[in-house]
Amino acid sequence: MNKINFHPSVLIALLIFTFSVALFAGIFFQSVFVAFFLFVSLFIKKRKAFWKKMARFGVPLTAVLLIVNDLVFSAMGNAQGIHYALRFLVLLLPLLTIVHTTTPAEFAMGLRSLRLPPRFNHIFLLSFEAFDSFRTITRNVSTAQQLRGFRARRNIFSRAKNLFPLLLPVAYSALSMSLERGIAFEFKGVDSPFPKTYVAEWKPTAFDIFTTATLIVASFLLLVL
Amino acid sequence: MAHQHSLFLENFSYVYPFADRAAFNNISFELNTGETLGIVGPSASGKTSLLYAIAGILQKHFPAGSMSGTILRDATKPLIAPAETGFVFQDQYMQLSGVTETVEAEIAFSLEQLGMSPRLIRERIAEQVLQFHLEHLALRHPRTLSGGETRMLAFACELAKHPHCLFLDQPADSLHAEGVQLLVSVLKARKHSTTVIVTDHRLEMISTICDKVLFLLDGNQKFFGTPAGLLTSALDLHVLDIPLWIDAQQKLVGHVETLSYREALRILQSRRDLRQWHSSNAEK
Repeated sequence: MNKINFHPSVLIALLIFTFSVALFAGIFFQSVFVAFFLFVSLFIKKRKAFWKKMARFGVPLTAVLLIVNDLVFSAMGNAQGIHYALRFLVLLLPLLTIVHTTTPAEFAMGLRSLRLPPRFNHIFLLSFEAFDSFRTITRNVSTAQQLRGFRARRNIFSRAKNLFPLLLPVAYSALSMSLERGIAFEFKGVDSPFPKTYVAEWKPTAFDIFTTATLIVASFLLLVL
Repeated sequence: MAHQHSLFLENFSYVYPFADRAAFNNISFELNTGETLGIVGPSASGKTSLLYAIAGILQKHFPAGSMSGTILRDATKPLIAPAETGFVFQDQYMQLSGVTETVEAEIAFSLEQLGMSPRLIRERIAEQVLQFHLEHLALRHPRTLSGGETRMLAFACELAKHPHCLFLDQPADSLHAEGVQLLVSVLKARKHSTTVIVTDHRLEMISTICDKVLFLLDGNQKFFGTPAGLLTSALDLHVLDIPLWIDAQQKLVGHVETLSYREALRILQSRRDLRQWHSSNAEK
């Protein structure tokens, strides 16, 4: 399996189901869910990038959640650490799998076939672009600091101390870039009243519709039961 | 002479919120349909802000600023009318939709938003790919293009709409000499059918494609007229930032029409070298 070719409607339904599992399912079901996605992650095309992110971000945060919650809630004797760490993994693994198997173009193509308002689709995609801009600007600022003589690999505290004052301006810069991108979108006619036509479209198959419906029903059942 | 869709500005000024001075001040000019206007001036002279105001961006997205004077536009149309106007931003990467996987799909994006028929979209894609020599890039991902190639794609996307009015913010940035020549030839081919408003530092390009030139200095209008008029009045304006070649052409009256930029620069350089040689000899 090189690429998961599910329609974005399935992916959105999967995210809803993920939230339901994280909030309402028991530890056993959550463990099975996490194990399933860990298994799937071994077969995706970008598994190297997937596991790099897990090693850098997923595993340390899971460990922190496990340790901190066990320490804080140890008196309750309820394995709170395991529960919080599992919840985090339940949310993180499907999200990372989707990000590494679906391009923004595929997602946009799928969203438009759902006949959602184009404005909604583009706000959704622009917000992803804002995160991307934030990451790019932070990386550029960090490179510029290193070129000016800052030793970035000194230790984590001096890096954090140096980056902290930049967070607000960088976030502002990323948002203003989004504004400019939004204006460019406006000139492209995204907000225009014309009915949209598409040269290529990705319509959901019967299997996609069935899977979407099943996931939504399952989410509802988890909520009720 | 009465012209349709002419642009008319009178004592037009704008101050950004919290700014202590106007981005541009008392701008007055009139532009007829199909004419090309070049807005020139040094950095931070208000070129981009004025372009944004003419395009309707300031009025729509920065309404908190203080605007005064008159700008006449068709009140029946929205401030930003994508079917009739095209805008190429200074940062060409801002122009990419981010949701397409090929250059062809990127050109198609705005046409799809405007509800054109798939057949017409395919025709326009072929036209723009050919016009901007993007044939070998047609199936490449837009994010993998170089700065100059992305700039060309940005032009193609906006011109594919066949706009009545085109705004270009420093379009020659990141373009090599051949790219600039291509852009000049494309704009010349669309002369009289499209009103073009362009900002740039390169007076060589501006004087080649523009019918009118507006010179800004610190947000103030210093000159409005023909490119040749700007050349002849450059010294009277005491504009120090104006590029060397205007200075050179001023000093060589009679050669204004025939002198190329390189020739002017060479003559000016040789005169300067001579002056330096004289002064160094005098010191000795």
